[in-house]
Amino acid sequence: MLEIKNISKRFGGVIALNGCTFTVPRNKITALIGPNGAGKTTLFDVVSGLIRPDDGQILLDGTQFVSQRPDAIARAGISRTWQQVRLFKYLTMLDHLVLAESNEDAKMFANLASQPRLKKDTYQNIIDRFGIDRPLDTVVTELSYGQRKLLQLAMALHRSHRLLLLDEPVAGVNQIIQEKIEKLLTDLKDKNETVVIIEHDIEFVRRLAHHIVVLDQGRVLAAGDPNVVLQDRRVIEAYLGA
Amino acid sequence: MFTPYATHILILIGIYALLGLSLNLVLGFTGLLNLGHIAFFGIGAYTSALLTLAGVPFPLALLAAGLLASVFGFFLMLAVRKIKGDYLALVTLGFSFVVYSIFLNWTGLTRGPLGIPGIPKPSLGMFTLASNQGYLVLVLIIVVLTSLFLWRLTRSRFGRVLEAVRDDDLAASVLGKPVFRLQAQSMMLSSFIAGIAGSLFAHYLTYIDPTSFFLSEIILVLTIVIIGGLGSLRGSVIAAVIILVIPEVLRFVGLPSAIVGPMRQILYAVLLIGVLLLKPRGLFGRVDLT
Repeated sequence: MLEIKNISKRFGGVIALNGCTFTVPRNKITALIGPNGAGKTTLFDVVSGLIRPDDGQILLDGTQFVSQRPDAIARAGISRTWQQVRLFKYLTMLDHLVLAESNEDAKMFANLASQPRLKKDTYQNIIDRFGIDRPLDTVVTELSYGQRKLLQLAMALHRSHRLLLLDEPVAGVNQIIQEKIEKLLTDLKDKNETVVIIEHDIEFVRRLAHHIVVLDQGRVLAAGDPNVVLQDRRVIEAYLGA
Repeated sequence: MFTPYATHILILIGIYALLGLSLNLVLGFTGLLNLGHIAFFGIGAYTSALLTLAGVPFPLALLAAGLLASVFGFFLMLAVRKIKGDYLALVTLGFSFVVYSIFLNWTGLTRGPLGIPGIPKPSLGMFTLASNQGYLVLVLIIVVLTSLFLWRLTRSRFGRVLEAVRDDDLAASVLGKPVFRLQAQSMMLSSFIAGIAGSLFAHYLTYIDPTSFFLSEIILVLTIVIIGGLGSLRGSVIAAVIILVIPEVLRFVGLPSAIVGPMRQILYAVLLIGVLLLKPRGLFGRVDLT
């Protein structure tokens, strides 16, 4: 599905990614774990096209896309969330869901000529399913942090996608929202979605992931079945502790 | 219908409303702090003046003024595509200085500081708009059509995408929105309208020189947009009325003519500070000035 081949990225004297290589299997949930500064979010930024790597290749279903722009990569079917929620602060929840739905809205003349009717019931169903108990026309700055995390996840899932990149989806949210998000992610597992998730909660990862990749200092320390990888002595030393 | 004085003020309000509306599209709706906007006004004015003096009919010159300004808008956007925030403001301000210098120094084309006199009043087919009342009708028609077009555009799904780019261009790009194309389209449309405003300005005054397209004019247009409110078309039109009418009051106070000019600048500054203190988003704004 997604092949990361020998990706390296240096910021001045800091090596963020150092020959990182692994494969994300199709229809599985892959957890990307590792200590702070291991290069996990940098890798997401490279895959999303926000950072150009110094070296290496990324292939999605065999197609190389390292030199493409972020919007082209997104349209190729990669959908992502952010560790620190990034939403459009003057727009409503409805606006966000419509923006996520398609890219037909970026065509100026076509949109001047005609305006499709908004399917408010569809969007209402989405926010109901995600448990965001606020009206659709709520401006996002009025939402709690947890609700914003849920909206961000709703947008990523609502977009037409082949691969989901979820950057710490439960970080910074309360227990109730965490349970909601875990339930939604378990649904993704049942639907055989292809997901890469960055997460620090090892028990959460153990419950959710089919496959684990451990990053340390920009390189892959171990990869494979969670039960095997989490017992690996190098992983315990570098990340989990004694 | 109106006295010649009122007609004169209304024509200027119309022209500055076009400048305010167009700057608001690129600044209030797309988030690009473009301080080079006045250069497009100048490019439109000079293009239209030179073409009509060369015998080109006014409607074609008007269109060419918009199109050439739009082409410059595209190249400016291309040059600043990787620049954001304060740096974008500085580079676009630099662009307006470069264009001003060209107006001033390319004397073979623009006559430099002597300016271009004798710009013909516009002819539309068999009609020559020699009277200011007729010219006012033309300006009002263009203001109304521009306002309706921008109203439709900004309320469309496309307008929502522009607002998303304004709020967070990176987040918009990972949703699949082609950010540079969207910004370029907004800039080109904005500069097209500014070019049209420049043409109307040149053919109304029948004389232009580089001083009409300098820094003080950028501040005036920016003041209109900020007082009216970012992201509000209605605000830009109303602010154009306020900004152009209030200083006229000074004419009737009986101040010496040497004081009236500086007093206008002081009045603009007081108005700007007052509005921002009382209503930080301007009169009708939906977006903070950050």
